[in-house]
Amino acid sequence: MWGKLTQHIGIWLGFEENRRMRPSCSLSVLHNSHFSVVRTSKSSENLHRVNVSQENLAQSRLTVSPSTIDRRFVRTKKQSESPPGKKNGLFSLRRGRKGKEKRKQSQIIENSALVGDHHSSSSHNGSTKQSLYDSPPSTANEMWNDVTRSWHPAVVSPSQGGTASSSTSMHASVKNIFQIFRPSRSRSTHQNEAMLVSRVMCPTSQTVGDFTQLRRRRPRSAHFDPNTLVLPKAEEIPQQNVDDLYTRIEKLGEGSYATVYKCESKLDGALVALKEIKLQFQEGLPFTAIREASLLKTLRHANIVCLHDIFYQHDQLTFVFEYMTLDLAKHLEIYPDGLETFQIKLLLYQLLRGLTFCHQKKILHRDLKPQNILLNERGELKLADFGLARAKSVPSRTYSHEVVTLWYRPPDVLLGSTNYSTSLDMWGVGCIMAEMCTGRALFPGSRDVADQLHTIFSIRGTPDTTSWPQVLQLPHYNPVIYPPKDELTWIKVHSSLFRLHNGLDLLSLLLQLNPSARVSASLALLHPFFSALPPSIHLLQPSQSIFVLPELQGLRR
Amino acid sequence: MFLHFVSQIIPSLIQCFFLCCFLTKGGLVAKRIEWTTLCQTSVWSIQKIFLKSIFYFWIAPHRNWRTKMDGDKSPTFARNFLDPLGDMPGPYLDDFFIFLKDSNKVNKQSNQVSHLSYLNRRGIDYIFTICARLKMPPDVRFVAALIFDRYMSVHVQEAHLFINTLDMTAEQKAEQWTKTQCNIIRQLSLRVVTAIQIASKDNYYHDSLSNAVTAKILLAVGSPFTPRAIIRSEMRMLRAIDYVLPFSPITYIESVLKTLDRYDINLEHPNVIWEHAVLFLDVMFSFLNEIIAQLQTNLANITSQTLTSRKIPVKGDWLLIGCSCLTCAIACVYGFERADAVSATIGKITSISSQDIVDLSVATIHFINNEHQEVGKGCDECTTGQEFEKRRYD
Repeated sequence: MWGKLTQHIGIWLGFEENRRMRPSCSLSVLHNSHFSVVRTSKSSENLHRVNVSQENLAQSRLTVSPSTIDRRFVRTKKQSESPPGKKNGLFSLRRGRKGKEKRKQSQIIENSALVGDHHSSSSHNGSTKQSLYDSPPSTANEMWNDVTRSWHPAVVSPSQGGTASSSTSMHASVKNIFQIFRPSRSRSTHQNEAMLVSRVMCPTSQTVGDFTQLRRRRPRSAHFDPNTLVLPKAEEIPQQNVDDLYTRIEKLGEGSYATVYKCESKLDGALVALKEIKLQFQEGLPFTAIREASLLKTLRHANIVCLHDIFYQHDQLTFVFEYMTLDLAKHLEIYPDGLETFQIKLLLYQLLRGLTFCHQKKILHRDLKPQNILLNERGELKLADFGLARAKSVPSRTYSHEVVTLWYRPPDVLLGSTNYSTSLDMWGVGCIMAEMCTGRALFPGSRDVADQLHTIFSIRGTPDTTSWPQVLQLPHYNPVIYPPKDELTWIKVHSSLFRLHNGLDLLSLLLQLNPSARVSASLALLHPFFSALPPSIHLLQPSQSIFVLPELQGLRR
Repeated sequence: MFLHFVSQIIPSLIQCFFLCCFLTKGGLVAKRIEWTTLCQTSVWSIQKIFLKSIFYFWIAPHRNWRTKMDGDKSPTFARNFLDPLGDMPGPYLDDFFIFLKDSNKVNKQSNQVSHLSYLNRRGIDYIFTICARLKMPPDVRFVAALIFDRYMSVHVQEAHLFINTLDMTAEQKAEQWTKTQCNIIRQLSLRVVTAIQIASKDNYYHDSLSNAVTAKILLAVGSPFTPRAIIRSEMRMLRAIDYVLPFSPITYIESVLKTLDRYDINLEHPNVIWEHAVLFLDVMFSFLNEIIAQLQTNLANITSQTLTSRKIPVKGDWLLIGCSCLTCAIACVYGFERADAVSATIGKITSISSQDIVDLSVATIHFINNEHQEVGKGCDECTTGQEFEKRRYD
């Protein structure tokens, strides 16, 4: 069975000369625009039936009686009844060509590369073979072919004809482009075409777009929604309704591309967070959603938010996350003077632990800020919002420099560096560490990039070109704009930073202007600042929370 | 009004025209040039040709693209092995390498990974040509091929299973199956372009394909679908592959290449080797079955003397394929002696038998030579990349 299918794919991809496809009569009838595809059930997207739309028939200027259509439908062999004349339009034309096809068997293969007739013949599926091998005998048919030749077979057949045919088909396609955009009125000079052009297009499937302003005769494939027309009966995946499984309790927040709700599972009463992604019709699925889903599927760690499930319904994508009580920003609002030192250690350790896991898998978070760091009532910290995250290549490679919220963006990226590494996230960790201690942001730039850089340089000092020579090559670096300043001691920055003691050393390591001097997450975990934590904390499995340690059990809130 | 209409149409016309030209000619000629010119056995000539083809097929088109996208702001796809600034820090690189080896081992044993069984050479050509015309970075085309293949295997299995469970007679089932096959075939171009779209969204920040662009591409390749159909197709493919996007095989190449200088092997031009290796990966993707057949014949010739049969499972082992591409590239740039020496180290790093790597690389180069002799006869036009370039833009 598989072999058969791959053979068919081979045909589509250009092996027509070797194996021919059997035309499927039953489906070819679908390719008439008088038959509309009607959705019978909303729940199963693939459930369809075919019926004849009578109104359209009445409107249609085709002089074909319904009985002819019925005959087509059941595919009786009485084709000779209606004489193949020009007035019979589409059907007779097909029939005539079919008859000639038999006679022209010998020429078929030679001409196959030239005849790029894709949608003029009876059907797409059955006719992949038929249309490609039809050799147009009469001049009328040749004109027909000229007009309706699509590029699709040209895609398929570059190899067949060799040099001569490919060049001719190129000319033909150039001609086609102009013909496609030409108003179709001009085509009515040909008698045969006039009848075909006048057919009424009746797209009833939801997904059928109106290309009529571009071309009056659309290819067959445009009439059908490929996702719904797979089988006459409902196919594999039954759609689950999110609202059947979860009750919404409250709205937690709304971002630019998603809305988050707090929900309760109807099955077991567990709390979850539903993130509803807004689909932009023009963009398709946002790449943030694709990246978040694909990355979180591979990142399973106690300090990274867990993606339970993904739903797709009513053209909306919904992620089901584990429920976290609040984010770090709200937590810091409760403590405006900063957290106590041991809490900082616990939270910072968890943050670094989650980040190490990401970096080991060469994934950069790229949007680290208190709003994206979630806490639950047990005091566990989890990284969230991987919408901007991406897998990094092993060697240097340029990436977008418009990442990370301004306040947490490192100076090298602010200066226009696009060549960053894991150090990007570490600057954010430093900012968050200081913020947890003082209760407010360390570098609250108010306006733009330049202002943000001023704020950073006024605390950390201007870049020293001897220790960081690469800064001279950064595009936005200009020593004239930034007057030289010295690095401030942390006590002068904020008096409460003093209580970090040896943490100040870690803070300096994290907030290095030079990205290559910045400490990495895995090394930061070994800093003496964390020596108060039990040593077995380094031996935990990735899936284990740090609160499984007996020493930390009591600290669980 | 009319002018406005014309000005709107012209860019898309040009785009369509180039797409059309390239689809009819470019994809295949691009391959042929390599085969034709690879006839010389001397290493240097091979290198020259490769550099030429690299320039004309990758660097030149991308150069246009870069000027189009206001200069330096747009991220480029090129790797820079010499700049230590954006490197992965050393400890992470080691960790990642172990993770990579592990996942490769898991992939080899499971059926959950793509073995390119649904893509023959034409299919690969089709995907690669569309990607080349869209000026996608090299990762995209490999990832798209893998996504497409994975989707097809899942989708076809599901459909088959579903029809099997239907309450029907055998004939009815066979009829249904035929219908399903027809539908699958009709949707192929949609699935291919959607795979490219997903891969571009995974790899690219600025220039991922939007739905509108995807619809235009599909129109240009001759099977238009509406944006809504494309969104659904996107969702369907993602659901089928369970939202897990495959590793780009280039990752294996560059990880090994980057790890090499930690083992005191200093290759002078890592970027050039990387570009060569990507070209060889193209060849591997297009002709994997043929190369495996070549490998089997080569092995059979050896084993007839020693009476021990050795089999190398290649399919699905992207680490082995990546290593062989790298070895081929080194052979192209520095010659075969150097490649032999380096392949021993590569074997040590990746814990793959270096004999396997060498055998596969030799089979690849054999195959390329043979292929030239067959294909090259019928192709006397377009002998140089320059000529080809001229024709393409004429």
